[in-house]
Formats: sequence, C-alpha cells, structure tokens
Amino acid sequence: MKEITLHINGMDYQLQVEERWTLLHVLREVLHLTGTKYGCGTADCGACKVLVDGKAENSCVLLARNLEGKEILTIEGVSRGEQLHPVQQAFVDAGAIQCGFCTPGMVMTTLALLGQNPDPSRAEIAAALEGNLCRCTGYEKIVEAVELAASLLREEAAR
Amino acid sequence: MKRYVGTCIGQPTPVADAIQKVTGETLYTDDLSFSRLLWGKVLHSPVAHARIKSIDTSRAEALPGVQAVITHLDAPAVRFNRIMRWAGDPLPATERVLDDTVRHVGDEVAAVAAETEAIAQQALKLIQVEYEPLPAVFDPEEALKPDAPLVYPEGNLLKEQVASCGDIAAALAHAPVVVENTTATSMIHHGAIEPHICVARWGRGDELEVWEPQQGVHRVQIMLGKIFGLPYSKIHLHGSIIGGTFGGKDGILLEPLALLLSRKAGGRPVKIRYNRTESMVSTYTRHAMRLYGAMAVDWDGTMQGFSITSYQNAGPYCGGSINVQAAMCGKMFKLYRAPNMRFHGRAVYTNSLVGGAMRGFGSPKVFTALELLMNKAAKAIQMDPVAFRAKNLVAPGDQDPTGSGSLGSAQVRACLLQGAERFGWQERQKNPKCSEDGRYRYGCGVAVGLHGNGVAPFAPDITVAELMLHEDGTILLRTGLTDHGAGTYTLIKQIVAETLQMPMEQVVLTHSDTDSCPYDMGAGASRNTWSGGAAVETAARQMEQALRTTAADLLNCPVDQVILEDGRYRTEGKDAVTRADLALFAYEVQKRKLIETVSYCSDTNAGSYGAHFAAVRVDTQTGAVQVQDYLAMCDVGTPLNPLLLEGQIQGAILMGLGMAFFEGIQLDAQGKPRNANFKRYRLPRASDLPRLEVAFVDNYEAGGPYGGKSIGEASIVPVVPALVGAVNDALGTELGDLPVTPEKILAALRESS
Repeated sequence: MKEITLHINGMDYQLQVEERWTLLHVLREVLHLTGTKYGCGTADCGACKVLVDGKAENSCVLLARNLEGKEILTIEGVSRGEQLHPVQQAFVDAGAIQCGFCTPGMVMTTLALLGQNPDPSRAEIAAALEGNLCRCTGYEKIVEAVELAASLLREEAAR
Repeated sequence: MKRYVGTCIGQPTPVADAIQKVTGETLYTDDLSFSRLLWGKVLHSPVAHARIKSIDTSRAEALPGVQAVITHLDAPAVRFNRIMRWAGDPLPATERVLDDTVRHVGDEVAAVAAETEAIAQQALKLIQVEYEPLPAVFDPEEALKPDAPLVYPEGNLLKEQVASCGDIAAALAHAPVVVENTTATSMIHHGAIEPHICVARWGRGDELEVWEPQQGVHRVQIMLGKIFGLPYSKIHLHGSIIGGTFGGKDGILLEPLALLLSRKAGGRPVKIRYNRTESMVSTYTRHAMRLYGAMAVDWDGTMQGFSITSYQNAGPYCGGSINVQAAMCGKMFKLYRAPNMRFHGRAVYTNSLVGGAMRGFGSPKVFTALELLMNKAAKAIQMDPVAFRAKNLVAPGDQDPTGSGSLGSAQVRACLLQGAERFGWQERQKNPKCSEDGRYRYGCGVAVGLHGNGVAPFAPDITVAELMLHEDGTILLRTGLTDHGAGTYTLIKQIVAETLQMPMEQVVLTHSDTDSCPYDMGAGASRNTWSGGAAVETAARQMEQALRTTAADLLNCPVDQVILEDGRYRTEGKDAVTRADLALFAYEVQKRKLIETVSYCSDTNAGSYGAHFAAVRVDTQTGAVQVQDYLAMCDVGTPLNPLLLEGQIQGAILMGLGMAFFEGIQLDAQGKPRNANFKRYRLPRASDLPRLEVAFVDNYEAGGPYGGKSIGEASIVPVVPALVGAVNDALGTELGDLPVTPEKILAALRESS
C-alpha cells in the first residue's frame, strides 16, 4: 500500500493504493464513482475513459499511483450543478443514447476532442471516437451529437 | 392504412432515462453496492472435450480470503436447458450447472468466491484438474459422419427439421434455369459493452436473490426453480438496467454458479463479472452455419421455387439452437410467392462454442443465403435484381404456405420499390463499375428480408400489464417487460401517455423484477413492442374506460356523454374534471383504487419487412471495402418513436457490416479461440460508419400498439446480403463465406483473373 493524493473532479482524495490498482479500480471500488464503466479491461472499448489533464484516457490501464498531480475528470464531474453540460445535452437531444453503457466514455472523449478542436469535421469526429465502442447506435447519432455539442459550445463561447 | 401520429406516439423521443445515463447516475448491476460482497471467478476448460478425472481444490480453499470453492461435486445432478421459456417448455435439457465432462473450450469447471477479485483470481490458479481427453469435433457436417467423435452417446444430431410446399425436387429437375450457392456464417460475439455479470445471494431459508442484466427474469426464475428444486416464490430476480444484450443475456449463465458459491459461503452475496474473453467464449455466440441453396426460375423471372439446406453448429449444449433453426425455417416461407419451397435443417452438436440467440435469431443467416441466391438467379436470367424480386415477393395479406397464418400487411414490395426510387437504383446502374485507373471497382446490392413479432402461434405469448392511478393523477405502470437498452421503457410510457392524454413524465414504471412486477414471457423474439406494447395499450384503454365510467358517476351523466379532451373529462354544461379529481372521487366516494390489469396474449405474428440498398467501392489492390451509401427502407407499421427506431436500425446496419466484413470468432484445430478479445476481434467502429439513410413506408399493422411493430431484429436481416451482394456486383464474384475479408476478396480476384 502506498499513500497518494489524487485530484478528481476538483477535489483532493488521500488514498491508500496497492501498487497494481488501476485508476478505474480506485474510481469504482474505492471512491464509488461508478459512472466510469468496466467494459473490457484492456483499453479496447473506451467505456472507462476519463480526462487526465484534458486528454481522454482509458482508466482501466492507468496505474493510480502514477497519477499524483494530474487533473482527473470523470463523468460525475461534467455536469454544471443541476444543468447538463452542453455535450451531455447534445447526447440526449440527438438520441445518441440507447443502453447508455458506453455513454460516459463517449462524453469524455467528446469533451477532449472539443477542447482541442471546437469545429471538427465528421471524419475528425469519427477518428476521435475510434477508441470508443458502441454496439447499440451504429455511431450515427453519436457523431450527430458531437456535431451538435460543438455548435452549442461555439454559440456559448460567442456569447 | 396510414400510420398513426399522436402527441406522444410518432414523436421522436429520447430514451426516458437519458439524463441519468449521460450523467453516469444510472446504476447497472456492476454499480450496485452490497455489504459483505464476495467476488466470484470461474475456472474454464482449456480443452474442447474431456472427462474430469480429478479436481483438487484444497490449495485454493487454503488461500486466505477464499470463502468457497465449488466443482461438479457441489452441483445438482439435474439437467436443464438454459433458455427454457416457460414452465412446460419441452426443449432438450442437456447441461448441468457444473459437470464431470467438459464439452468446449471455455466450459465451466469450477468456481471460487473470495474477499477480493485478485484473491479469487489467484485461487483459480491453485485448482488442479486432471483431464482425460476425449476426441472432439468442431464442424457440423463432420460431426454427422458415421465415425465422428460423439459429443453425446446418443449421437450428434440435435434436431432435423424439414418443411416444404409444392415439389421443389421436380422444379429443380425441370426448370429452364437452376442456380446454386453455398453460404457460411461465423460465430459472432454479441458485443454488448457491458460484459456478463451476476450478483446472487442464497439467503436463509433458501430465499434466493439475483441481480443482473437479464432479458427474461421470469424465465430465469422458472429455470432456477427447476435446477434447485425450489418454489418460484423463493426466487427473486432483480433485473437491472441492461448495458446492451442483443440476445446475449437471455437465460441461465452465471446465476447458479453465483448462488452455489453464496450458499457455500454462508449466504454472503457473490458477484461474478466476466471479463471480455470470458464473455466471448463461455456464454454463447451467434451460430456458425453452412447453408446450401438451390433455385429454379423461368427465363421471364418467375420463380418456381428454392430449397435451403442448413447445417447449424449448435456447440455442445442445446440452448436455443432448435428454436433458431425453427425460426429460420418459419421465416423462409414468408418472403417469396414461390409454389415450391423446401427447408431442410440440421442442428448439430459439436465441441465448438455454444451457439445461441442473437439479434435476428436465424433470419440473418437464412436470408443471407436466400438473397445471395436471388442475385445469382437474377444474373443468370439477365434480369435486374430489384425487378426480379418485385416480380416474386409476397403481397399484403398473403398466407404462410406452411400454415402459420397471415403474413400481416407485409409491405415488402413498397419497401423495395420506394427504396429503389429513393436510392436511385436505376441511375446507379449507369455509373461506371471501375475507376479510370482500374484500381477501384464499384457495385450496388439490394436485399429484402423479414423477422417476426413474438412467438405466436408456436407458444403462448404472454405479458401482464397493470396500471394504477394515484390521487394526483400520475400513473404507476407495472410490467415484467425488460428493456434491452433500445427504448422499451420509453415506448410503453409513450403508449400510456398517448392513451390517457397525459405527459409521459407522469408515468413511472416497475420493470424486470419477479416480485414487484407481474409476469412477462421475456424480451426475445421481437415481442417487446408487439406483445408488450399491445399489453400496455390494452391496460391503458381499460384505464381510460374506467376513468370514463367514474367521470359519468361524478358528473352525473351517461357514460357515452363523457368527453375526453386534453386529458380532462367533461360533459355538456359542466366543468371538466381531471384524472386527479376522478382518482380522489373513486377513493373517497366509490371507495376504491383505480387499477386495471390485463393478462395479454398475442395470437398473431405479423412480419416486419425491409429492403436495404448498398453501394460499395472495392479496392482491388488491398481488398478493402468502403461502403459509400446505404439505405434501409423499413416497414415498422406506425413508426412509434422515429428517433429510437432510426438509432436501432443504424445500430443494426453497423452490426451487420461487422458480420459481413470482419467479425467472427475463429477456433484453432483444438477448438481454442484465436481472437477472443477486442484487440483481435474487431467490432465496428465510428470510422466504419457509412453515409446511411433510414426511412419508413407508410403502414399501420393491426395487432400491434397503435399499429406499430418490431424492428430490433428485422433491421439486421437484409444488411449482410445487401453489402455482400454489392461487393459481388462490383467484382463479378460469388462470395458468400462470411466474413468477406480483404484476403478472401483478393483471393477471389486472383481466381477470376
């Protein structure tokens, strides 16, 4: 066990972690932040994506002990109080959610993409979502949600 | 008849729990908290067929933190079928919870429960198993040869099924044109992003509780009752929100193991969560099949008939294999009006992975074979494939020639013709088939197909629905229905809200729970919308009638003079009253709760038809296929919720694209999967998304709620033959061995040049 401090969703957590614990394990099993999902454990499905210093990362393969000093954002930290974040609202409005299991990971990847590129093309969106698998939607409405989110955020920035 | 459009029905509506899902607040099974929870892990067989000579669990049991280890010595002797649908379902019972023989790589051998997942994992490695290898067979046709290794002493033929009309042998012998083809499909992983998971507790007094994503909670209750010899009333399934299933979370898998571990661990709850490889190998897959087709046609395009002979690789346990074969057989007769048709299927035991239900339940296989055969016949008589199909399709109101009843409104011709128009089929035929430099070839494909709506007339198709009105006018809807993830809960709220003219937010529901919900047969066979939706509509209409009679009492007028308007009830000359007023009046004056229940049984089974069109570009240097345009023209009756319909159909197109071009679990010569993880088994990704369009023909299907019917399964049926047909059109090939990979395309090109 090692004592570390993780900065998650704007809060500092002092934690005792085992050497091999992944960030996903700490989020789900220790902090009960269960919005981040286990889908494969091998960084191939994207259900466990979180933002680490603004980059979307698969938390199932990140060792928790290596993340001190990093800004970690999970799906629980995305909403603006009672209000949905525009990216979340776009996923709802576009009908991009069916079973919802991939949705938190999709939202995190979208946040990272739009942080870098506020006006992505469909090809750029598809490329960004390459590591996020969805079996329900066929991705069409997810791509539409990302386009909608981008326009909502651009409108917001222009205000 | 025209589609129905209302204030809720026909309106594009996101899933009702979208906000909980998009914020991560939805609790799936893995997110539930339990005190004193143990982690369960399962030891799986590394060999395809063996008798277990001995198992030594002593070292695992001695590991600190291990609370229970179970083997076949702990398992009940009873054999069961994992997908038994009702208490009297006569399906063959072939499997035990744990057996002294393993019959496929990944078969369950033992299980452990421990304080942590890591300890449970470590304990598995300490279990010593001595296997006595038995000969194994992996191919259904090989398995039927006289000297083949036996999966069961009684033989490897699980079920032979023949059905026919007319005399296809005579037609094939005498027709001016006869074409034949061979099609093979692969074992496909359902690929729900949520892996298989179960939490179970064997409580004091043999009170069993199970929390899991499950398509059929009442079925599992029945099966657990049979396995453990307990009354159903002691078995409580809490169905969680499902993180995707597509047929993969239907019936018994992990429950008995978790329950036996819990019992041995003194009643502590046990969670088993499969990793991706386990979900792929140790549950079940879409069946691999080989199909042989033959078709007899006249030069003018009149189809005399066809035959399909199929060999289904069932794996070692029956599960739903017989039903999948029966579904292939049944559906095959409902597409073309040929006088001579014959289905001959053999479901065969092998030591491959277990085959089972997956979206389409046989239809994607039989119609891939049939539609590729149609293309070949059209080519042989030099007829346009759309025109050839149009000439031979069934018509609205036709009867199934094998006697299962009416095909329903069967708007498949409308799908085909309107789709061809929309897709620009004729114009596209004039496009160049080849790029100027010769590298790329272009082609178009069309396919039609169908799937059913429920299990009538082959089994009782029952859903119970109940509505209770609160005194503030809001509604509690109780059903045992289960939402696969595609929006059933949203739809049934829409149906209630539409019928009672109220906001759907004022309808809450209980779902998929054996104690708090009345019975439902289970979310399979595309019965959720058709049967479940109709059950809910029936209960809602009963409630609407009850409100009218209550209003007549309150307003002191005859019932037929009560008018429902904007959700309020009134009569001439009096102020309108609300549902809340009526509920309170019923409670205070009539001394009763307004509650309406129906045990609904669907006795009809319409087809949900569609015509799909694809345009592809094939790179002759790499064999890569790019889908350039795709259109799905669907007959769903009334489009009850266009947003969710589109999303579900788009998902089916991508799933079919995977099946057509790259998905399939491969086994090595010893039956060991070669690609059982998401690095080596490729699921469709966002970059595979072609330009696609989904559209609906105008229709109203009597028998379904507000004239609507299923799409979840029907939507995938034409996808593979449309796509593979387009590749064959581009290349002049007859590819039909799925998946059609770049390697197979290049090989076919080499062969043809």
